Amino acid sequence: MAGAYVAATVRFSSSQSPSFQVNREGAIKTEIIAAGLFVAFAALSLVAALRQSRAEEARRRAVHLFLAFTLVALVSPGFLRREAWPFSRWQLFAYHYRPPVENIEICGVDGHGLEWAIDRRAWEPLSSSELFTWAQKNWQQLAAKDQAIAGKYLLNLVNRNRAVAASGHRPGVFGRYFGPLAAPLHVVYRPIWDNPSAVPPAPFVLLRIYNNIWDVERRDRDPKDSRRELMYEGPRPEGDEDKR
Amino acid sequence: LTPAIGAWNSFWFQGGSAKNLAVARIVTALTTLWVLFSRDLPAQSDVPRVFWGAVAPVTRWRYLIFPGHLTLERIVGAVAVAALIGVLLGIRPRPCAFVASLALYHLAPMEAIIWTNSPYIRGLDTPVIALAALSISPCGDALSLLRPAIPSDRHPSEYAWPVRLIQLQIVCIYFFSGYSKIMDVGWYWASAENMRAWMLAFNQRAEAMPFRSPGLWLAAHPALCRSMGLGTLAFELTFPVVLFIRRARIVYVPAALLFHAGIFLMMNIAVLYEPFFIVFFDWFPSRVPIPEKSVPVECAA
Repeated sequence: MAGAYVAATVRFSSSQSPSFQVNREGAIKTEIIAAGLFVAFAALSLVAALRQSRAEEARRRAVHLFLAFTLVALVSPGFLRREAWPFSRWQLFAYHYRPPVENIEICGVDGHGLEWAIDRRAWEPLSSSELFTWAQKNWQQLAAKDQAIAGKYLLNLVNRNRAVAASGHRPGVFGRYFGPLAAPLHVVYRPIWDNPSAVPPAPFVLLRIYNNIWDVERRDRDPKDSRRELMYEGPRPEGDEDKR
Repeated sequence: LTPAIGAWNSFWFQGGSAKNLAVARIVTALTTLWVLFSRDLPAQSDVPRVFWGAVAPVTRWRYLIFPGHLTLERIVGAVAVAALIGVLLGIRPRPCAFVASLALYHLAPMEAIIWTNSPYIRGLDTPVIALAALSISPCGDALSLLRPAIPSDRHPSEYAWPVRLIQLQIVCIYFFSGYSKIMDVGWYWASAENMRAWMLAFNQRAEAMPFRSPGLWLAAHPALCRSMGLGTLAFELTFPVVLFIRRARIVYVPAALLFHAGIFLMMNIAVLYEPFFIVFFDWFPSRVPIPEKSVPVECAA
């Protein structure tokens, strides 16, 4: 899984990437090594910092040791193709397109049964790209009661932010200090609830999570050529939940 | 070993000025504060536990992240901000930088931990390492609110290596990005077909994005797609020249900014390490003349 961040919501194949093939035991070992690498890095920097008040020779030796270690730590993950954040292998867009593309979409449904697109800022303080990727990888493995818990939390979150947007304020929290000059997320989306008239007028009663699936070439020829699979519709009211 | 030692010293300790290091300190602090204030990382601790179900215990221990401790995470966030303000203003910048580095190592993974243990390209990877380096260096000798307790008569080379380390980090981003494309996908990565697929995939999504037509336009021109793929690989794999040929920075740094502007236009992808490009230029001249090409030097550091 490590290093598999592919612009969050569009999933490409990376069959050649070893990070997809590591087993659980290997993953634990990798985590421990990565943690050890950072602990050693922090310890060396602390030692070097404490030696700064000592004689020049001791100071110099500590800096050289820190640099040698950091150099190895910076380049090893890249050459060995293993993640050890903050010493990263920088596997950026290193993927081979194999159809289809899968893309998560979450919509809100109001009391009249109308389905609405949701402004990405409405998921804050969660980063929407991370949330959608999490849903893509985990949602269908969740037990029904866990889906209900997650669904309720997300529904409350978007409804709270919908109300904020409907009152003419900026939804979400990431822009609370810098507004539109806030540091963007890795994948940038256009705000759609940018004025009260663009905001759905009523609270949502349901969320729908879709997995959109398409082949890029076929969709280029026909923009409607994509499949939309409903992964989840909920959360259901308490009584309905029991009946299911 | 003498040539190797000479090359090592030349690489890390050539040039250097207190003010250039202070610029790196200020840029690191400002960029990190910008990212921190544009997120709410401690709040991730408060999401229901069901979201944390896929996070392995070993990952939680690795970053010392345990869900359900919002107050504690808020305190860690506040400590990080206070330490970064210390770094920015030059008030006890070295201990502040160390504390900030540790706090960020803990906080940065919060953004994505629900699905990945590697929060790279989210804006805090460079600061974690840069701040640790600053904590060892005399980064508060210039442009500081508080003057250093001991008057500085340091050799300029002591100011050089932290800036060099940040440069190396930036270079790693580009070089290994290219390297992983070759190793994971092969030269096919740069093919018109693969580039076109990337452009289409990112611009065919139904959601509202700032730009859509530039990427679709590019996808319709296979020759341009191929050129872009090859150009990207060439640019990324040769980026390390900026470490050794100073004049190359005049070409590569603006090219990198254009490169990211292009990616933003074509794919709506943003990165947050551009402010660190400032460390590739000497804003204040070193007291020791710097040759155009790196050559081994005797070094006092």
